[in-house]
Amino acid sequence: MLSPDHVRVRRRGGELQLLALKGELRERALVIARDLADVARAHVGKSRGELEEAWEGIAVSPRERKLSLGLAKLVEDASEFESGDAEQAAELRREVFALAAQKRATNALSFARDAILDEVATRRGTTPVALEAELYADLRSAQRLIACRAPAPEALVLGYERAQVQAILLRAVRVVAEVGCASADAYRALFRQLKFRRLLYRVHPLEAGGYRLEIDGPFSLFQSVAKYGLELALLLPALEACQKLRLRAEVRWAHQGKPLTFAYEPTVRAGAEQPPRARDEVAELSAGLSELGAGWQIEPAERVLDLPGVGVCIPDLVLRRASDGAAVLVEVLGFWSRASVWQRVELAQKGLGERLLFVVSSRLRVSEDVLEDADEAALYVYKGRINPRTLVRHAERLLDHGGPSPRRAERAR
Amino acid sequence: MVVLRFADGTLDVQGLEREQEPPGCEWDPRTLGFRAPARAYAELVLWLRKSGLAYDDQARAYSELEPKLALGRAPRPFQTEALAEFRKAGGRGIVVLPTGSGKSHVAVLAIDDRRRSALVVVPTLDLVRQWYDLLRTSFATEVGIVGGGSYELRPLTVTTYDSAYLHMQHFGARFGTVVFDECHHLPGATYELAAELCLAPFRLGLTATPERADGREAVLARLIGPVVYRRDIVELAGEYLAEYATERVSIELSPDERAEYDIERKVYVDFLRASGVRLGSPSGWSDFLMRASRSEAGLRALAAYRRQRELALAAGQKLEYLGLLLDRHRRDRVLVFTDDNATAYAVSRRFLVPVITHQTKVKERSEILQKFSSGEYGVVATSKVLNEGVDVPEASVAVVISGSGSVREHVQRLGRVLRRREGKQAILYELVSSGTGEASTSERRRAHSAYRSAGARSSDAEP
Repeated sequence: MLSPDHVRVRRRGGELQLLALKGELRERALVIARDLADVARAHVGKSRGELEEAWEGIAVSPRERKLSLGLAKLVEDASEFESGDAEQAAELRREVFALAAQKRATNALSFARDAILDEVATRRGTTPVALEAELYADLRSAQRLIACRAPAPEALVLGYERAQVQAILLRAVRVVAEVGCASADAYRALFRQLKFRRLLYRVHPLEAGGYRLEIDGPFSLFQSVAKYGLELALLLPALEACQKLRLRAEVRWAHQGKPLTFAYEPTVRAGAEQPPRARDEVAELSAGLSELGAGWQIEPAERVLDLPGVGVCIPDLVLRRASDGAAVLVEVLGFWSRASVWQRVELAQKGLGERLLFVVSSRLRVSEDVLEDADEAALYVYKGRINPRTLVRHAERLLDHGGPSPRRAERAR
Repeated sequence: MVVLRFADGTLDVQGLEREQEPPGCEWDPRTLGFRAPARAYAELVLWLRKSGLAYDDQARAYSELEPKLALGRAPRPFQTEALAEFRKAGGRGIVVLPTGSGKSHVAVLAIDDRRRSALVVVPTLDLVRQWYDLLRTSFATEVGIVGGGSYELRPLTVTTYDSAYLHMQHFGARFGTVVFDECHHLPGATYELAAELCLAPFRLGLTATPERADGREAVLARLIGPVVYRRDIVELAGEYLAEYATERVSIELSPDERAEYDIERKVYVDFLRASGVRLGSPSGWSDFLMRASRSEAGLRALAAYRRQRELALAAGQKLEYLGLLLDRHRRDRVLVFTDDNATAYAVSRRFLVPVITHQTKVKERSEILQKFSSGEYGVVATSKVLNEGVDVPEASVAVVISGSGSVREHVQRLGRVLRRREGKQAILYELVSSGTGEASTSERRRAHSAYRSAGARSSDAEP
């Protein structure tokens, strides 16, 4: 990942803006990228120190300096270095320093550096010059470059542009992202990342569709801290996977400076390149429900139901009764984990304000009874494959009665 | 029922009405409950008790400390006084004692006194190693380490400030006592969080010099507690610290170095004048860097600044003079301090002495220090990493080849040779290139009683 030192930005009032690479400068970026990679390839077998010195020799103007440093970092990241044998170097130092200490203590006037190096070199069957070179062969600057896998200049420059955004988010104290996903699974992937990164958020639906997420960390309530910057930067790919993304971040750019706002709306998104695709079991259920006839309309759901402090629920389908338009949201939990089922039970018990049907595999060993007292939610526990007819019976019961599940009613009969 | 949970370095408080406003807490709309920094734990629990509210404390994960102090080392009178003041302050406070006087022993006594699982936070890996040995011996038990590639938590654990900042949100509830060694490091945008995200009700700070150039030592009272006890070097020298002298040696640049220095210095100073940058202002240095990055002349001035500094700090004559000092003190244990790694390695290569920098692996550091302590090595060169990290009573000579203008750094370097031993007379040499910017840097860092007092001999000498 790039550091803020590699990023080309300017301040405009309270805004932090990335400087676009265009026209002549973009051409120069391609030339610098090519030169850096060529120099690196030519230095395979040489030391990191020598490579860095050679890179310093590539002429760049002051305004190209950060660009050059950033591109060099990406070339470095795409290269492989080998460290000298640390044990061997440490052993050599041990021998040389012990002998030098001994000579110095016994007679300072006779302390002669060359004589000591000669003595150790002779003992080891090498020369004093080679011995000196090996003395610190394990330092970072002495690491040997063994391969450079830098991509073509165009890809390197594109990579630099994307990496700059992450480098800015490293200093972010808070991110507000307006996102729109085309499938429940895409939303789920995003919220899973938020949870995995231990970030906190508030969710607000947008009139035009999609959601506004205000994202920061637990301690952000008390102080604007950049502690969550790394997590926010690592969240970026998940945000970019959404079909729509507009991001604003509050950034502490200078150490003592005031926070700045950074806006980002990607032109090329990872997620936009792949059409949304429902999971197999959801697609199969959707097809099965459609075959049942005209009594129900099936639509993919694009909703995020959030209960602060408890979690989110992201249904897969909306099952709408044709006769009165009443709707039940269906989330297929399948056989993910019992914990996710209990979290949905807690959500349902606290009230999500919608009719919800959770579809769970019997492999999770959960009873439909756990939600029997809930008015707005129900569990449908299936064995083997999801039966669309049974699911519709659950939906009807939920809409009409909120009473016991069909299976329980059957058992009672 | 009020429920307290430790949530990533904060306290998630559920079950209170919004009007109740518990101390240190704020309403969190993200979770529809109150939240407080973990630091507020003690205050919050006391409030709950006082208010007579039933609560389920799921936050506290620390335990009573089982191992007892196994070493019967009698504390010195000032250590006993420091512990008494710490107790009086409710187990929260800062003890200010000079390096070498036995601050660590005060912490050991405090940990034993509080009898809670304890975390010691230190600035360097060398200090991790040192505290690990001290706690292991003092309490005759295994000690955990977090940092330097280790992640092992135990009721007694040592970690670095860096690791504490990174991991406190995970283990901050597992310790009832936290000790911040060299606590002047704590104030700052990142390290402060190590104290904020820690739940420990008992907090001890140790330092020889709490004062900071940025004045942020004021936040230590909030993060740890007030200064509860303080003794200065000059109060303890002789009786509890070694007698010492300091000697500043003026070094002339060689004619070639002088000519180059003057040229480079002029380029740098001319640019400062032309661009109107005032280095004395708070943003002076960042202004200079910003302006320097915008033009060819600026980049040249930046290179000139670096070169003239390099010439002053690593003048060839300094190494010549170091050779004389190493001859003079060939039977003493000598620490050589530099401002940068390159000079430290240059000293190592030229005089064939071991060097410790941030690149030196922990195992090799330990071996070097152990051999330095035993006398197998008479000299160790280092840049800044040993400013606070070496505890070798036998070390009696410090040679400062170069350093920053920081008073604290200079006092700490002196402190490295002050640990008392029978008949020991410590000496610190400071090599300063005359007629360069280093002379004023030296003046700035000597602004401490340790260098000004009547007890300290100070002289300027020509080589």
